[in-house]
Amino acid sequence: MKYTITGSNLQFVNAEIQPGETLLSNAGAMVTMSGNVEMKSKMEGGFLAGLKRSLSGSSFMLVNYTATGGAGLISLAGKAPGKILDVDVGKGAWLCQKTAFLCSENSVNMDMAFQKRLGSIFFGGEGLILQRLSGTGIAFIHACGDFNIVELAPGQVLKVSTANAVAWTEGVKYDIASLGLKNALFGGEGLFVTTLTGPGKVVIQSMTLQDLALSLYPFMPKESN
Amino acid sequence: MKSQDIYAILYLLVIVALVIFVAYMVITGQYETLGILIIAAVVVIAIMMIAGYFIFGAYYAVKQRDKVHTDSGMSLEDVQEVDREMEKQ
Repeated sequence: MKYTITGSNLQFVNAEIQPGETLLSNAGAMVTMSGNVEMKSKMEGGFLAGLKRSLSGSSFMLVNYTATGGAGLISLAGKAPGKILDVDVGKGAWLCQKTAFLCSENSVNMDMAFQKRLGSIFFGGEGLILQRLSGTGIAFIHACGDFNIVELAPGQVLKVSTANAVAWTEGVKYDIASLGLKNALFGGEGLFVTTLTGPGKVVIQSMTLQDLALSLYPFMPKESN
Repeated sequence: MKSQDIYAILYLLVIVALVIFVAYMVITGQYETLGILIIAAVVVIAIMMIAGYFIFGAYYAVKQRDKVHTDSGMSLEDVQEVDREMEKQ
């Protein structure tokens, strides 16, 4: 599969698949596809896998795209202003925030994963359930805002505002740290920050969907009497 | 069977049990009891969540105080911005 990621803040992933190749995507992610591409909604992995996918913010059925008679082009996009990032899961599994998975080659396994620490579940900003991408091939993740990638050395710590961690490789330790009452009240970051400890890569977003919604909310039209 | 599978099955069982329970109450016309049960469940869950949040919050606020990791220095080179269009230009 060949692909490009185009656009700046409302990006497309354009995937060119050959006959015999399959691209999997979340339901509703397709924007365009060439005439020779066939689209089939399937319960990939069976009912339980579908249920786990829907619990982890993805769709119960995945859409399979296959090309016939030559190369086919499919363009997909996320549902919020933000970036799309390609991750090679063959080099190691990735853990992503709920709803991050957009599409992948069919050799990629998308499963549900749990946060292991109680404090991280309650106060880490990502909740109990995460998405785990493993197997081989390329997967595309999408989240609101712009992305920074930081490669952490063993033991190196990155402190992140809660909910701004989009994805991290499986070796990264995810935890929380309290900033103290004064910082919580006047620092604007809340009582906790997320701490990510290497080794591994982490993807950070500049804005969460919730932050975007909160910043737009005061300007939403109100019903007048 | 993985813990994720067990979680998914339990989730499904709870949903199915709730649907059956609500259907039974509606069929037998016990609307008042159903309404009271829903309000009671919402109130109890809300109180438990608020209490849990405060108790765990206080515990972790004391237990996991932030500290300076002197061995975690970083420079601009350690951050890779993901913007392919800018890279091309």
